[in-house]
Amino acid sequence: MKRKGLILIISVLLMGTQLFAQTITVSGKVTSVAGSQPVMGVLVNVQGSKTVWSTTDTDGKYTIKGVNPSDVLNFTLLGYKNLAVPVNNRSVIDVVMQESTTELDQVVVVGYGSMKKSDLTGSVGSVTGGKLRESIVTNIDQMLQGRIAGVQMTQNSGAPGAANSIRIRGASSISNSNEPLYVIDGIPVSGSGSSIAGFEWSGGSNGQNIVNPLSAIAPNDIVSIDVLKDASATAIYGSAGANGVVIVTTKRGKKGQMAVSYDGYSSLQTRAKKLSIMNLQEFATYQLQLYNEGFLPNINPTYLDPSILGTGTNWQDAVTRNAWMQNHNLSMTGGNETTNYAISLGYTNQDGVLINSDFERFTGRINLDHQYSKHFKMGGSLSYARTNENIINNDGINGIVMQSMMMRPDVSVYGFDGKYASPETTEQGSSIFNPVAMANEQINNVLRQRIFGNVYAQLNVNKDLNFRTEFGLDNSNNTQLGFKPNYDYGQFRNAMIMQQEDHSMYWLWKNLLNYDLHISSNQNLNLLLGSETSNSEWQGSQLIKDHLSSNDIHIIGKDGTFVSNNGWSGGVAKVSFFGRANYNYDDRYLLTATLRADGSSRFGANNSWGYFPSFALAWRISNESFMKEFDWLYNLKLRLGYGQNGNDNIGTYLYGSTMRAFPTIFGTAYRMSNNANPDLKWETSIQYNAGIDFAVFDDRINLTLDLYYKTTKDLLLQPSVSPVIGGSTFTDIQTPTMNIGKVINKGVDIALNTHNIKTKDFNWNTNIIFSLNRNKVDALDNYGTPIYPANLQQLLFLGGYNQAAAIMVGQPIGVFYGYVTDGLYMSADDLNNSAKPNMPIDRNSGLWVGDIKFKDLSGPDGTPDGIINEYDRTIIGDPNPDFTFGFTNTFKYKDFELNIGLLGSVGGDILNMARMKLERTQIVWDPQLKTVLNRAQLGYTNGDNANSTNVNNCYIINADDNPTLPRFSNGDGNDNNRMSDRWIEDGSYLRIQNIALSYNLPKAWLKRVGMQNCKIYLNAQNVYTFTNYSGLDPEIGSFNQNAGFSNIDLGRYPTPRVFTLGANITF
Amino acid sequence: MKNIFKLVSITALLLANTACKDFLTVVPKDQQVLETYYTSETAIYANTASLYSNFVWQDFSMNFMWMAGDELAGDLFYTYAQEGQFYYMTFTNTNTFLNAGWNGLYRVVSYCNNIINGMPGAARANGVSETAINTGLAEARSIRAIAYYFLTEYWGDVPIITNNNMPSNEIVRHKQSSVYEFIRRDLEFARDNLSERPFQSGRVSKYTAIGMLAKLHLTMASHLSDSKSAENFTIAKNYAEQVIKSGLVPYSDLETMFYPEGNNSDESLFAIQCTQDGYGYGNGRNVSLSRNSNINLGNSWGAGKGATLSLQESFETGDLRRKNTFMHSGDHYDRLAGGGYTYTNYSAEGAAVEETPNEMLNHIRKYVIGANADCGGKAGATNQDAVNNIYLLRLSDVYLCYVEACIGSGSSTSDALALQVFRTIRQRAGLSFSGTAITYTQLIKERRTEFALESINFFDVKRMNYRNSDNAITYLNGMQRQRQYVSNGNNTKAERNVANAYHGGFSVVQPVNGVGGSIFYINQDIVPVTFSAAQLILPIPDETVAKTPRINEQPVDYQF
Repeated sequence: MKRKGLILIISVLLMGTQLFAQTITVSGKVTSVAGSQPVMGVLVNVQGSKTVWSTTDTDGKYTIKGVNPSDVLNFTLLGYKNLAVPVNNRSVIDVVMQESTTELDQVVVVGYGSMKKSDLTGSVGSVTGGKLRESIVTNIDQMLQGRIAGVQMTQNSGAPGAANSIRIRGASSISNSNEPLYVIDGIPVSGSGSSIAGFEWSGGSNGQNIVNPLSAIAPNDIVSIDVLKDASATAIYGSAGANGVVIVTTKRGKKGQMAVSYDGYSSLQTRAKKLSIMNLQEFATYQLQLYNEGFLPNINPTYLDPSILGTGTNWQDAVTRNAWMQNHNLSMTGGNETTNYAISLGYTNQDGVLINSDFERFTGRINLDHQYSKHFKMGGSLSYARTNENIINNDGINGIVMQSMMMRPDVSVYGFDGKYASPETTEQGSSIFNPVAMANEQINNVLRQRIFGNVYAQLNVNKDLNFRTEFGLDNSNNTQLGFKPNYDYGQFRNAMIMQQEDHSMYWLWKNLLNYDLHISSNQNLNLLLGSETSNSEWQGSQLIKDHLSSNDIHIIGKDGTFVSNNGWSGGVAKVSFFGRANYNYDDRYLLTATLRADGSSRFGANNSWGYFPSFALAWRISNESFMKEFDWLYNLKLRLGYGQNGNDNIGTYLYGSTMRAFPTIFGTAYRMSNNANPDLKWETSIQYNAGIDFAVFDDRINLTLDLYYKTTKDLLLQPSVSPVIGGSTFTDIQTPTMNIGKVINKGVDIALNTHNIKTKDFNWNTNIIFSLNRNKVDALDNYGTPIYPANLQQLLFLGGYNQAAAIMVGQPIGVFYGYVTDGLYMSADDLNNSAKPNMPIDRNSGLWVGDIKFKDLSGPDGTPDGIINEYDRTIIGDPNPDFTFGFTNTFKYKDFELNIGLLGSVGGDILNMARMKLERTQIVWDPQLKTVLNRAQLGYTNGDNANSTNVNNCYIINADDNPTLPRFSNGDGNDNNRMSDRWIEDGSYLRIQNIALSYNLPKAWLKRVGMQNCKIYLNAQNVYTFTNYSGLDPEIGSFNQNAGFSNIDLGRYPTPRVFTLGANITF
Repeated sequence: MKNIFKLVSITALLLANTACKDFLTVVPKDQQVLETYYTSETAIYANTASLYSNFVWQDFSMNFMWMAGDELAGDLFYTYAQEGQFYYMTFTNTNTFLNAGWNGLYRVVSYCNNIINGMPGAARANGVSETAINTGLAEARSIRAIAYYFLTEYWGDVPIITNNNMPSNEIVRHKQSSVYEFIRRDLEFARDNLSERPFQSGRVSKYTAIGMLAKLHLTMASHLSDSKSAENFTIAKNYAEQVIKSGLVPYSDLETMFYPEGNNSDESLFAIQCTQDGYGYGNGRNVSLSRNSNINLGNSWGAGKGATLSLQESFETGDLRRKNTFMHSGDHYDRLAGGGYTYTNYSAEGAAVEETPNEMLNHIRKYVIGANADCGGKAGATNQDAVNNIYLLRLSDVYLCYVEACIGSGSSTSDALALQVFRTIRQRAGLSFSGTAITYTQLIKERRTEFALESINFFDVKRMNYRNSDNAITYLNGMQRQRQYVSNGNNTKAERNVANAYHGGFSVVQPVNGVGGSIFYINQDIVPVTFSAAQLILPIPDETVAKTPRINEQPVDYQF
């Protein structure tokens, strides 16, 4: 800091004498510290001059004419520390440039370019280098977990390769995607995953059916991930940037000998937790209790003495396995003066901890850059990925997890005949399947192939002006096979097959004009102008057949009976123009302004164009002369930003009406699919950001703090209207998509990096991130009609849960809505004297002692009326956490490195639907959680438990134990299981996310075997979770990425605990 | 170099600019668009075809229809959770199926409104014939009338919606009398614009409209305090007579009436059309009502469902409808289980799917069509999409409406045509009738057995209630819904499978102090289930209450 100030002063002094001096020619060579390699492309210019400059050639040599002997030469190149060398009458000046290592000189990738971190005006977070390797991940979005303030990544499922939800500064869209935009080497990839066919087509619930959109990218290929958080940074992406932008950069070649490196690991995954479900003895005890209480007229005689029984089948164990995962990645990089290359090949194979689920991926990638001449550069990249996933039904009532917890322990996995055993399903119509059979025999295989790549040509007219044109494409072809066998376990008697194909093609052409205008010695203006045109098209088809004669042939052939087919096709086109100006005054005042105009085919001609401006300002206070005396101060920068982003992430042609075809007995019928809204326009987010970057003691303490306020208005959504006039489900003539409502997100992101101990041999770094976001729905339609996610209604067909999660004015998105419990009716008096539902007192079909007492909060007049009905519902939980944090410590001792990462989330509530199924004291034939054994048990003073009808005779036998679970009741007139705070739990947790130990083998050893580098590491991930949450895992995420459907535990696929041994070798 | 650059950049920008307009217009490739749809008669009929498909009716027909229709009526025993709450009438307005039923019927209304409001103008502009336009309109209006009939009979005063693009806060409830009048106008339009025989079997005809008009006026007439009650009985009688004399012939084969073969016969004045095109398209009853997977070799959830004891008691000896309504010990069916099924209370030891009796000692037969081999591959036992249609108005219903209209506000009739049609219905069931008068009680009993488990008997209770509320409640309480069988647990499975081990088939003896008693007995000590008249009007579902601010205001007259 001091040094730079000094140079500035000197150069100002020198300028005065410049005119009178005679000029000379200076030449020399620039080399880098590492290996004395020549450095190409270094800009050499006379400080303060716009006209006197040169660049180094491939040998690192330069010649610069017209230099005054007293000038100072500046040597600059991105990625290297700037160097200023006084000429002092020399004609040969060789310099050695150091690669930049400090935070400030770090290059950060921003929209359509990159800049030094110190020049940033917006809010950008980065993960680079080693930090990317600390977690063992299948997909790149997982690398963001706990790494960047303001970015909340939750795994929606522990299934291999599953989709995740990422919220950058909260969710702002109600019915559309809240996933960020990913830009992978310049090609945009939407973070919202595509949906595949789940399990619904063959009957039952669907499960999560969104697949990860990023699974085609091998994490090993990534060198940096940069997250643009505030609107001033993302506005350049206009319509696509509303949810933030994640820029992913892959490895590119460097000049030099070919470096071959191998990354590989092998992991063992284990299931972290199982629930305490009744075993056979406990199940028998439960049955006996029910018999004694008079609820069961008969009992299986073998249950009369539970102590002689074994423990029965543990179905959770039966569907779980210790699973292996392996990953191999081979990369070759290198190049000469003109051409650089990076080639990589990757293979990942992950088995899931639940049987028959797995994920396999092959990837190949080539990146090429060629410097044709001083003015012309070209290159490109090409990547291919093939992923093959076997998905099991993983959420919802028919999911393997739920089924494994609800299956009776007296049924064995296999019968005496070696076939899958089945429960006696006919009793009471229990619809539980043998989960082992379900997992093993039902196939849902998704094979995805994707090719994407780009080519570019760049013309450097001079050092200040360049033009780049780039063409990218992304082509995917997916096939999906579903098979449900004809197998006599329980109820599947019809072999069915489903085959689906999807094809999509996306292309993008962009043109960028970049101009650096050196206004004066201390003023720089960088201008960027660009255009972008993109088009995507997709089509697909699906065929279903049933009554196959064989279980062995998994291809749609002649066999079987045709059931149905479907086909779809669509496209979206976009055109954009944008410009950006970056103004830098003396490295003290930085100004960025952008404007983007986007045209989208998703809107009608009236409103297809949206305009999105942004402005940002930064003041590097530490560069002010009056700050010079504070030499401990390394960096102090204030940033202010404002920007707008658009969102057009809705279906196509919603501004018009289509006629949907469907089969009927009268031939193909047509019906209107939705009402039109020709005035549909862009959803807009307006964001303000204020940030401070603060670093002291030579960057050993580095703090970044950002405050933001984001308003999203004109939300694209279907208003929630009275069901008597319409709806927005598939079967409705849907209400039009409109621009209504407003959502506000405000919050704080803090990132603190400290280098606690810095010695030659021992280093200790700490990295803390903290994200706090407050989300509020500020307005909906004119009447503030609440919205209940349609998705939820379909899933929770269990009664009374249609409105369990809601989007309401004044509340965060996805709040839980229901009744408040107030213990149990402990006696007949209590029952008579308390508020209760409008229901007779009757032990079979009505209210009874031992039922749950709900709180009478209100009534039709707004005051408590003694009756428990819908007026007594209220907000009972909020799935959005109060704050989340990450805490990482890295210890380095000589060649050893230890990394410990913690992750936490505080204050988010979870709706434990799984427990609702497993603790409902209503079911005779499914096992339940062990807690059910301690429910309120009833006795009758007249001793006639089976027939007593007088509530005054009834008492709770175990009243002294203060039972919290209600009495058993088959009819359940009180609806004890209704949506209430009984199922809401605090989802706060602190997780030891990973502990990684690595060792770099000494170079001396490696030389003998021809290695440059060899690192061996051990990693334990998902080590332990501190939480009060009673379910399998407090990290739930959003079902199918739907924001209104967050933190609802439907029996989520558990996130495994992973132990890894890996090596990283470079030859 | 600079020139090249200029050239490239200018061309690029120009190209991008000029192509913009066209480039940004993407017309759907996989669907027709509304603007170009209504260009022919075919298009209109393809549009109205949507109104018949179970796809549109599914939220009503899949669950609510039989839960409310048959459980409330006391015909179907089922007590499981929310689905069973209708049996004891202990549901609240949070009941999911109540919500689905209401929404489902209003969805049918929305489809009809969409055609009624949008089709004529668009079709006329394209020069499509007025006849086709009016036929399409008449189809939509008669189906809308049927949906409103169900709505008002279940919920009483309901909002009349004619245009679905209205603000939620303008929605109010209309008085039931207005709803009746609205239905009447729709049906009269349909009567005047439909042909005597539909142009496609299964579509509505003039007689669909007239049959519904008969039922509507009978319902209106049952409000005896209404000044036009007597007049309405007469109108109902006249309409019903027109249908009786239309030349339509009652379906003769009770065994196949509820199989796909019975679809769209003369008997079927209006039925929801079912096809095997996946969940929602077909009849779900083969899955939801069948005893177990032995019956249909697919999914099956009907183990806990059976005909109530009072329904069983209402069948006379020799009534052929009995075996086609429910099955009990000793019954054999050729067309179930993929080639024959004999009902026993318990299956033999070691059976693949073990069978046990339910509390009613019977399981449902009507609408259950077995496995694919039993019904020409149309069992739909995986996706709940069997192909047997769901009747909403049968010819026999209009026959018996005639009898009821003749009885009028009195207690019996000896109208000759009434005696004739009553005999026709009974003879088809293998029963004779030689009486010279039909009493109201006889008629109701006949209707109950004829239409058992077809989800319309609750409306008989409603009409009874309109006539005299006390009588209706006495009738309901007399069913003694609390009655159910328990096993004394002392006998072997074989003993419990004796041929007469069904309700009415053996004498019921209750054990004394847990000892002795019949194989199955009815617990005599159980508290009676009783009802009140208020329970006969269903509550408006909570979702609608939450989203319709003025729904709880006093109902108003509809302004025609």
